Order: sequence, then structure tokens, then C-alpha cells
Amino acid sequence: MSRIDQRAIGELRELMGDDFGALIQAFAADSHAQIREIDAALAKADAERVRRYAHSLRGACVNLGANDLAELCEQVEASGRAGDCSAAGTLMASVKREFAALGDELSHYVRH
Amino acid sequence: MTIRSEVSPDGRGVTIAVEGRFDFSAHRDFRETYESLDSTPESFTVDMREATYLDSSALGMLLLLRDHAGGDAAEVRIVNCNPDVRKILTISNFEQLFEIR
Amino acid sequence: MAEPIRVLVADDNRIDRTLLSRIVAREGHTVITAVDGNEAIERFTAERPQIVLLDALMPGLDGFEVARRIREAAGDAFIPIVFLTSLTEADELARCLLVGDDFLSKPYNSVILRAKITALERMRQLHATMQEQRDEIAQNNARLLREQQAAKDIFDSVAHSGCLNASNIRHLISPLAVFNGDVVLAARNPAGSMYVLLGDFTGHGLTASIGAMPLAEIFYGMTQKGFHLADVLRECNRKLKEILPVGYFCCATMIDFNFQKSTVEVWAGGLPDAYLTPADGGPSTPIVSRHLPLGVVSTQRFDPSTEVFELKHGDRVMLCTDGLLELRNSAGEMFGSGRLIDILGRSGAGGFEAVKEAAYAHMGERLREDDLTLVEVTMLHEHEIDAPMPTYVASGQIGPRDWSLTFQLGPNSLKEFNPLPLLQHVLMEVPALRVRGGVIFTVLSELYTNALDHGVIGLSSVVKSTANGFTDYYRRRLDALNALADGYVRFEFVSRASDAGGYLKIRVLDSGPGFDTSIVAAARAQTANVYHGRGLNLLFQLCDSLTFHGAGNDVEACFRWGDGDVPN
Repeated sequence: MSRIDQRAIGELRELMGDDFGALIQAFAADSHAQIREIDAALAKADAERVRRYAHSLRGACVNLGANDLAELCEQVEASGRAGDCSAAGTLMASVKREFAALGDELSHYVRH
Repeated sequence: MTIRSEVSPDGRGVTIAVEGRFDFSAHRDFRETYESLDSTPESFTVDMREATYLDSSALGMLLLLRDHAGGDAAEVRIVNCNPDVRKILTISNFEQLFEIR
Repeated sequence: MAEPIRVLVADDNRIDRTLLSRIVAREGHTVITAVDGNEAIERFTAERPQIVLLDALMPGLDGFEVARRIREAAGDAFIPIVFLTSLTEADELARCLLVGDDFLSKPYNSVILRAKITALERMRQLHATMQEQRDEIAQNNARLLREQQAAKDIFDSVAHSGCLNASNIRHLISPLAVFNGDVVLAARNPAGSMYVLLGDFTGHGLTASIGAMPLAEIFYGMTQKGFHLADVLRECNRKLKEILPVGYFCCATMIDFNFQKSTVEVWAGGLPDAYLTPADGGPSTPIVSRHLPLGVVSTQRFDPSTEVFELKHGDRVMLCTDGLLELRNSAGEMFGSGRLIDILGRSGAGGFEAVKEAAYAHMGERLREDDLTLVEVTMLHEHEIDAPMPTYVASGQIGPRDWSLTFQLGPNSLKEFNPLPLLQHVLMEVPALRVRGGVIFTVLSELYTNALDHGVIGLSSVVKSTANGFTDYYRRRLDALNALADGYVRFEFVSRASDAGGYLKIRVLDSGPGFDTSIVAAARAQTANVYHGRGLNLLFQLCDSLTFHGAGNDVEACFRWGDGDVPN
């Protein structure tokens, strides 16, 4: 099952044209960085920072049509807002799993 | 403020009745009443029974009517004046130009 | 496709920023990007975009704070701010609309964004147009106000001038009278009398007061030349009838305060009652308007008849326009004449101030001075009047040096024509006589009155000094003049002038029987009563010499200056 909304991808392709591949790569790189930031924030128990990066990541996911990952990020964001680093930490495992799977799918789009 | 007009049965006189405040806002309607007539009647009667108030612009309108009706040769009556209206006409001595009842 | 505009995209997330920029650029617009709040403000100030797409949650400066600063930088202009948000809570979205003008949710949809940009750009242009119009209106307004101020200055210099600051006049006239058509004029004539005119033009705004210009010119010009009230009024009426459109007129009251005779002569057309309040505290006498306002009837139909009242020292005449009487308080009650009469009756010499205070109290907080015009003139002795006498402007510096003039009036002229201004005009052409213009006019006036009233018509001057005497006197005079079938008054002037001095002889002869000239000696010795003796006391005081010939209907007055000697 696709982790990305097909129609969204289609529109993105149409919008970005030749730059579509670059966009996907940028997303992959940025998301990876943001996940690391969240980990670092959890290590310092900085709930606010967790919230902020989760929010940013979620936004990009929504724009890309990666709705499952977006949903998970929203939960991390909520935990961060609530100050619950423990819950956020638990969720991050799912986030990373989902992101890895997503990454595979995205690489197909880049190649074709 | 409403202006109504009526031609007398024998067609020789026109009565213009003013209702409400006879002030600057009446200017156009009042003028139209006599200017729109096909011919100038022998006499005009301005009926003030329903008029509540009269100011200097109304006095001016009466003078315009008199001028239209022939100036010194005109026959213009102002009737059914309440005390306030009467007072204003008296101070201006308009009975020297109009028949006032 | 819509007109291209500049759009600022401020978002810290590279993906979001890239997507949005691409969508906006595809619509043909120019994109300006910023990665955080500070850069957003910088780029906004530098590039002046027409629309701002702003991420609500950026690190560093809060999105809402950025919006506030952008608004400040925009100043008067309306720059739509659209918050970019993945917020879903209603009150969070509502906050976006509170601070910004719209929000755009993720995922970004180009159809929606296009529609939003179009709508917001329309609003922005509408706002800009309104601002332009507002600025134009403000400029026009400012110009109109300047013009009105200039008009007001001209109006003030003409319509509120003359001797209004005389010691026996108190007046109140709104600074905005130029817009309500009220005019107050005051001047002394060559005989020392004071003419005061209160006028209320119909209409509103500048059109109401523009008639005041010719009115003032006529008033001042003719008063200065010595014309009677009736003549001045007749000419004012004629002029206003000529220039004002039908339906426009000037309600007016004009008074002639004669300090020598202690009388006031009044013509009232269209204004509310004036009030004559005695100094001793008795009830006020209303002076009723008996004439149509000025500018209504032709000269033929114009009635200049006046009423004369005798005044004692300290008696006062108060004139007002209907603005005072129609003043309403917060309960809608009018000030009214009853209140005015009441105040005058109990305020004595402080009447004017009392009325003024009462008017202000009546208005209360709804202070609207634009319709309040009041004038009070008090009868005083002539020497107590501190007001300038008219000065003469002749046609040239060098006047006639040796000349004579005979001027005779028959019955038809005596009825209606006043020769004094004309003759005075001639005499004032002699430079040396100008400085004594007032005296000469007074003498000329007295001699003519004696010749006409007592000589030709035969009225007894005794009548004047009784109660109601003056009213009676003037009525008889008018009747007699109208019936006059024969008779004459003749003026003979002889004058010589050199660098060393000169003289003027004025001889006045009338067709009457003369009088008992034995009283002349007594008058010269100042033991006779002024008015029984045909004003002889006064004449002896004013002239350098005064001689009666024949039966007394032939009198000669002389003036000399320098070493001028009057030959016999």
C-alpha cells in the first residue's frame, strides 16, 4: 500500500517538473535532520523543541501527501506540547520505521 | 413635507397645500407645482392648514411664486395660517404683498 | 491571468517554502523568500511586496509578532498577510484571522491559493483607491478651508467695521457670521449722528453673506456723505433688489442715533422686535418691524418711513436676529422673546451682558455660536461718544480757490430731495474746509432744517419738546411736505482761499415769513433754550459769525481760516 497520496504526488510532479527529484531528495534530507533534532531534544528532555521540530516535519509531510507519517508526527507534536517526553520518545520508534519505509517508496519516484 | 396642488373647478385658481415643514427641502417640489402648469392661473392660494413650520427659505419660495404669477399684478393668497406661521409672516410684513388669512 | 504582483513567502521549512514559491511563480507572480522572521521583515521593507505569505510558527521571532511589525512598516497601505498553517484547532485558526487577513492550510493547493491571491489583491486595490480618494478629499477640504478663511477675512473687514467699537455700542457677532449671513454696520455721519444697521441675509453659506459687500459699501459711503436714513435705505433696497435673485432678501433694522436731539429714528424690515429699554428701569418698549425686508420690492414701492423715539441719557436700544430667539436648549425649548424682555427689564445697564450670559446658559453644552447676533446702542452725551468722525477724501489736493454757488430748491424738490450731501460734497472740495467738515455739515443741516421746517412749512419748533412731541412733529412735517405747493429754499455760497487763509460764506434764504429776531441776542448770550430758538445756541457756537437779515428768513454763516477776512 502506498504511503503517499498518489494524487498529491501527481500534482507535485506536475508542479515541480524537472525539479521534482530535487524536491524529494530535499525532503528526505530535511526530514532525516529533523528526526535527529527530535532525538537530541528528547535526550535533553526539551519538550518545546520536540514540539517544534515535530510540527515542522509534519507540515512537510502533509504537503507531500505522506499522511501516515504526518499523523505520527502530529502525535509527537501533541506530546511535546503536553510536555510528555516519554510518550514522545515511544512514538519516535514508529516515526522512524514509517520514515524508513517511506524513504524506500520515495526513491522509486525519484528514479522514474 | 408634502406639496399637493389642485385646480379650482372653474380652472381660474390653483391651490397649493403644504404639509409638514415648509423649509428648504420643499424647494423643488413647490416650484414644480406651479411651473408644471400649462398656463398661469388668475390666482394662487397657498393653504397652510397642515404646515407646521415656516422659515426664511419658505418666504423666498412664496416670493418666487408671486414673481412667477406676475409680480405686483399677481393675486396670491396665503390661508389657514396657524399662529406660528402667522407670526413669521407678520414680522416680515408679507401682508403688504400677499393676502393673508 | 491576473496582474503579476510581488509576493513574500516566509517559511523556515525548506520544503514548504519551495512548494509555495513554485506555486506562486507559476501564477506569474514575483517571489521573494525569507527563512525566518527577521529576514521576512527585512525583505518586506526592501522589496515592498503586495502580499505576504507568512508561516505562523517559525523559530525566533513569533509569526504574529512578525505580522505586527510588517503592518507597522506598511504604514497606511493595506498589505494582506496570509498565515501558512497546519494548525487545525478552530481557535488557533481564528487567531490567524485576528492578526492576519487569511490563512492557508496544508497541503498547499494551487487552486485555492490562486483564488485567495486574487481576492486579497482585489481588496488591496480597493483599499488603495479609497486611500487615494480620501487623500484627495482631504486636500480639497484643506483648500476649501483656506479659501473660506480668506473669504471670512474679507467679510470681516467689510461687514463688521465702522465704529462698532464706540463706547456706546456693545455687540456680539459670531466669528462664523460669514456663513450665516449676519452683518452689523455702524458709522457716524458728518453731523455726529450714529447710524447702526443689523442685517440678516437669507440663504446659507457664502451666498448668504455675499450681499453684505455692496450693502456695506452703500451704508458707509452714504452715511459718510451725510445722507438721511431714508436715502441710505432706499439705495440699499435698490441695490439688493438688483443683485439678489428673487426669493433672496435681507431682513434689516437701521437706526439713527442723534446725540444732539437725543432721539433714535428707526426703520425695521423683517427682523424680530427691537427693544428700547429705559435707563430708569421701566419696562422695555418693543420696536416692531413694519416693513418688508430689503431687496424685495422695487424702488417705487419701497417705503422708507421711520419711527422716532425720544431717549433719555442711558436709555438703550437692543437689536437681535432671530438666531437668539430661536436658540434651543437641550430640552428643545426656544429662548424666546419673553425671556429676553424679562432679562432686559431687570438688568439695568448690564442688560447686554445679562442677555449674553443667559443665551450661553441656554445653549449649555450645545454651544453653537454661529447664529447669535446682538447689538446694543446706548444714548449718551455727544462728548461721551468715543468714535471717529468721517474723514473726507476729495478729488484732488488743490480745490477751487475763488468760487460761488447758488442752489435753489422749489416745492417739488423740497418734498423729497435732500440737498445736504450734494452741497457738502462741493464744500469738501476746498482743502481747508475738510478738517471742519463735521461742523460745516451740522451748520448746513441746522440752517436747512430751520429754513424748510420753520420757514417754508411753518412748523413751530415748540412742539418738539413735549412728550410724544417728536412723533407728532414728524407726522405733521410729512403731511405738510406732501401738501407743499410753493415756496423755496436758496443756498448761496461764496468762498475765497489763498496760501495765507480764506473764508466761506453760507447764506440760506427761505420763502417763509421769518421770525421774531429779537431772540437772536438772547441766544447769542446763551440764555435761550436750544430748540425753541431754532438751534441758535448751537449755530453761534459752531460758526465764526452768524448774521440774520431782513425778517429773519435770510441768515448768513461764516467760517474763516488763517488770516482770511470775510468781506461784507
